[in-house]
Amino acid sequence: MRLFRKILALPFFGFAGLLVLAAVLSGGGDFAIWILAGLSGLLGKWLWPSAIIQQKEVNFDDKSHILEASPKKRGLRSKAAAARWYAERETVSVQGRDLQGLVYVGQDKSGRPWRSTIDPDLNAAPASRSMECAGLSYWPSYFDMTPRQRGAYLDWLADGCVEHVDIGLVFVYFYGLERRAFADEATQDHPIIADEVRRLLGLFGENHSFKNYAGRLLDTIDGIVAIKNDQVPVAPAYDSPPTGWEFPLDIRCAIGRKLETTDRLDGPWMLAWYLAHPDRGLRTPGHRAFDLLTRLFLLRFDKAHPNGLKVARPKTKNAFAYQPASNDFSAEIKVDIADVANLTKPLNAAQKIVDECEAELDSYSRFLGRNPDAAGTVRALALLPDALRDAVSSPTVDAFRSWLDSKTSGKFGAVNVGALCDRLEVSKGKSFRVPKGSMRVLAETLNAVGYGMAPEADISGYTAKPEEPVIIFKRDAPVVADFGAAYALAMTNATLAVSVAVADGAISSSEIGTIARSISNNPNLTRDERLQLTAFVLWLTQVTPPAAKLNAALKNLDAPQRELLADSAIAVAAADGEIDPDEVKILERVFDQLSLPKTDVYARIHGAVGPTRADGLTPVRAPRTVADEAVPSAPSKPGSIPLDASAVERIRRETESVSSVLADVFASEEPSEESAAGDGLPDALDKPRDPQSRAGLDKRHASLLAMMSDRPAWSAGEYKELCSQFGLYPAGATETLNEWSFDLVDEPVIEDGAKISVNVEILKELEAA
Amino acid sequence: MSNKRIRPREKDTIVQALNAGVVPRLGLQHVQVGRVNEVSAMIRDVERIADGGACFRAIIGEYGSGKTFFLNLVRLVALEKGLVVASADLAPDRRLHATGGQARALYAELMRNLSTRTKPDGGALPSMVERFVTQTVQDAAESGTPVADFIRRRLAPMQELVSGYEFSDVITAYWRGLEEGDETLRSSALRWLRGEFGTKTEARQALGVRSIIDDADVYDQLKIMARFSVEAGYGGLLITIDEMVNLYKLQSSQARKSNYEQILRMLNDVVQIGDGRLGILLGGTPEFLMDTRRGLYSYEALQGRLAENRFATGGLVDLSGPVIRLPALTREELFVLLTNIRAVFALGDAEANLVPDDALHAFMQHCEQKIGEAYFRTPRSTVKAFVNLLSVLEQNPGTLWTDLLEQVSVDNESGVAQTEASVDTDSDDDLTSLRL
Repeated sequence: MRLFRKILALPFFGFAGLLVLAAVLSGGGDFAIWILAGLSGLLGKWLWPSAIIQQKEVNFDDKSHILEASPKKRGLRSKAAAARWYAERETVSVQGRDLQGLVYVGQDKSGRPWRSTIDPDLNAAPASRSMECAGLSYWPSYFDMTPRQRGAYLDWLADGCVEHVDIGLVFVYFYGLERRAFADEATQDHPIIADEVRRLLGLFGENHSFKNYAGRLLDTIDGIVAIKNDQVPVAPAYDSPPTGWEFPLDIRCAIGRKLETTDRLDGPWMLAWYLAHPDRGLRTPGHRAFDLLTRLFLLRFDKAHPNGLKVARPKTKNAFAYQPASNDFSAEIKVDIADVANLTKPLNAAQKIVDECEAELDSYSRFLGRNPDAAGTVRALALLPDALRDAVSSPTVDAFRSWLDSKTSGKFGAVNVGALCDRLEVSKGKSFRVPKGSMRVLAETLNAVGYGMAPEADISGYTAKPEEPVIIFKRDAPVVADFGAAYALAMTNATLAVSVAVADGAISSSEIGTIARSISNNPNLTRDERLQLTAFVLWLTQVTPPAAKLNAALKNLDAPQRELLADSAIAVAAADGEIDPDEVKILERVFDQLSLPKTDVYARIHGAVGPTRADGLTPVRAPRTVADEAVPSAPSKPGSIPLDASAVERIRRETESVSSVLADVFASEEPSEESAAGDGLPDALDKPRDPQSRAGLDKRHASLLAMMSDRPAWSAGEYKELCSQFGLYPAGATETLNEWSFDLVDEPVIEDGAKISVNVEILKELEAA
Repeated sequence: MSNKRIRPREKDTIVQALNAGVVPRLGLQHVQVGRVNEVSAMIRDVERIADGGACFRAIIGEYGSGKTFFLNLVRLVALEKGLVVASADLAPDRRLHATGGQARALYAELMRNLSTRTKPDGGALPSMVERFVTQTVQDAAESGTPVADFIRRRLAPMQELVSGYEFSDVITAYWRGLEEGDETLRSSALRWLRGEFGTKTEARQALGVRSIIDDADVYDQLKIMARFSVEAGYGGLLITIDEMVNLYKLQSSQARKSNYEQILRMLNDVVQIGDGRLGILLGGTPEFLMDTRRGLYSYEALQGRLAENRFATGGLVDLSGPVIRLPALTREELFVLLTNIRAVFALGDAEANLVPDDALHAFMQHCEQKIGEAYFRTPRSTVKAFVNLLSVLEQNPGTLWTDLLEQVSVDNESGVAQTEASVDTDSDDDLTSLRL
């Protein structure tokens, strides 16, 4: 289909009373061309000033020859034959030249002469070598030409209209074709005229004005041909945005005929309608990326109107005014097909989608505006809407993708950020860190090709030095949504955790594991956020990030968040089962930054590394923390005692084993049990048994005990005296006797106090033993 | 567990002790909850001392996490295994190192609290000396050597240590006092052994020795006592020092450093020399250990030695290092502890339990309402209240526990703002006493 060209809308209808209605019904009767031909000659020369004014308006300063030519022309008119159309190859001789048809030659007998009519009586310069014809008016006409110009025109015609001449001459020729096609409604000549106009377009198409008029003529003829041929309407497709100030007849008719078969229009139809409609246009993104816009429109339209857009068939029929270039006449073409030209509702629906599409393409368009050669590059692609990205492929992008694949053979890969900048032609900046904007561009570009990058400059605020790595990783799909507040908190948490983990000089796998678990167990994070955070943590372990960012982030936390962070920092420090003094130092600083009491550090570390903590017991808060702090894992509501049954069971088992361990230590002889007392006493056997002797006791002490049991109590002096009888010292004797007694029955036999006495019960037990 | 028989005497001891807020002397195996690894490690330590080895442990736990109970438990184990145990709490006037007599004061406190199995509550120093003297006199008589020479010969290994020579003089003086009925001489010797002489002149006049136990000699003297305990027929000496946080609270960094140097000396002796028959247990809070400005971690040389085993990760427990951490009790542990106490009352017969499990839950809930959610971490008063409750139920058959529960009052011992000191506070964990 043709593109429709601009039609100069001139106030030509101001020539009141000049219009003669000519109705011509043609062919199949399903269409009619109504031609209103206006012949201006009737009014004579007193109307010319308006034409002169037109000339003035276009700054064409050539009144003199017009004023001079008119009386001359008038005088000559009566001699020649009436003007008529000379068909193709019908030779006519004018002023010594043989013309090959497709022109009107003769005199217009009534009214103002048509611009294209060649009056053979008018003087024309003889054939000359130069086609010099300067001074043609804006609306040139044969009769207004100087003889020299006429000569040039006739020469050009005689040579077959191939020379490059002033476009004014071409227009005069074109006016004739136009008159034949529409004013004389010679539909049988339409194909010939169309071919000739196409030929001229090929020669003079670079002239914008001519291109417009010629294009419009062709469109009208094509439209008429198409309508006559009764073709099945096909949604027109465009490869560049159409321009024009009129709604092309063919499209109008095609849409109208489509609506005879359906009340719903799909994407291609609505797009064609929108694009063809003179009131609707595209903004820069649409022009710059027309192809992408049309693709995107079709996608979005299908989404918005999966069954097509419902359009009510209008009752009005098509009527199409053809505005000729010559201004000699005007023609209205009426078609018996519903006219959609005045419908706005469907266009508004399309407009909405176009607006959205253009907004989506805006950043891409702006990028191309700044970098005209960047189409097809990775960065340009990155700016496309997701829906289009997969549809567009480019070797550069494919190469970049496979490079990324090679870098992330594991899940995550480290890439030098300077190299990445070079590869994507992103500025590395002048300072010693890559600017945030560049980091953002890198991330967006990677995101576009299905990769993620850490650090994410916008949320974390971290940027890398050009010589430092960034972490890249493959995503299932580009991330659409922004990361939320939960991510920011988790990120601060992870940053803090890493700073603690590296405190002891090396980051251990268990420390990383603890951080990774805290990420994967965080229910507030989306899958994308977890992946991103993991990469971020990896990045932190590879570089030494500036501490100021973390400190600033910590300051903005509320109390529960501080608690949370403190807990997780300690969990990481304790992850490898020990708290290194260096880690304690870091934790002291962390608590300081978190404005938490420093004494809590030790209590919490203690709770975290205690031996039974590793097995999942509910961790408890330090006893001296303030009462209103939340303990996330062990909420204690009044009226409920949350006991972990499995923990109770485990403690019970441990208690049983500790009980038996201790029982072994404190084992005492059970009086009721079979007596095996002697076996437990290594030195019990080497003494002879006699009434005065007891197992494990030497003779003196045994005698002392025997003596003592005679009386219930002895004073200290008496006891001392008694001891000395056996060559013993009181405290030593008591100690020895009681040691012996303890060995046997776990109780002292001598009771030491104000008075010294023998515990008779124990003595009985001892005798039984 | 619940069907293990408990002897009535054990029950009485346990109930009385718990009621008084102290560690029972008997039947600990019926009360102790969990911590089997820690307890086993300490039992092994004690056995190692008795076998001629040495040990050093820092027992680190929060207020109320059972440090004191644990130290006492180890102490009882050591006594049971035939060791002599010396215990003391650090205080502003009792330190490991000082120049104003505070270290000697600590030594004196340790000696006053010297316990043996037969004298578990302290004051066992005379018994130990006399036991040594009795044995020596007998051996001397058998070999026909003068007793004084024999004492010197027996104590010869100690003379190479600082003050070792004076030590054997003092023991000889003690013997002489006994032998000659010279009570003054005997008590002077005891005073010397307890480090109670303030000046050398005084000591020379009383005993004829040229030196006394001074601030600088405390640790050496303890080593002598360890060897002496062996000579007297015991397994060795275990020293438990609690409230180490007092060192952390010293204002002068030089004073802290000097004290930490003493700890380093002890640790080095144990680790490097393996000095025999001596065990040292230090009880302290986490900040005492970990504060990098004022705690043990502030002393570079101790940092590395006290840091936990780097290979004990992923839930593995390593108790071979010098630090044993005692986590605070959990609700579940308290629950099991209450179950144990109930079993003690029932003499281990599950049929005879005074209250059902529901009562334990209700009791814990009651405590939580009374003193807040920290009740299970400072279990002393909770346990005491529970023992009281069970005692009332036992002595008043037919009483319903539900009726009594509301009347149970529990002391809140967790805060400094405590108005009345609970009767059971044996000043172990009482922070207020440190503000002298």
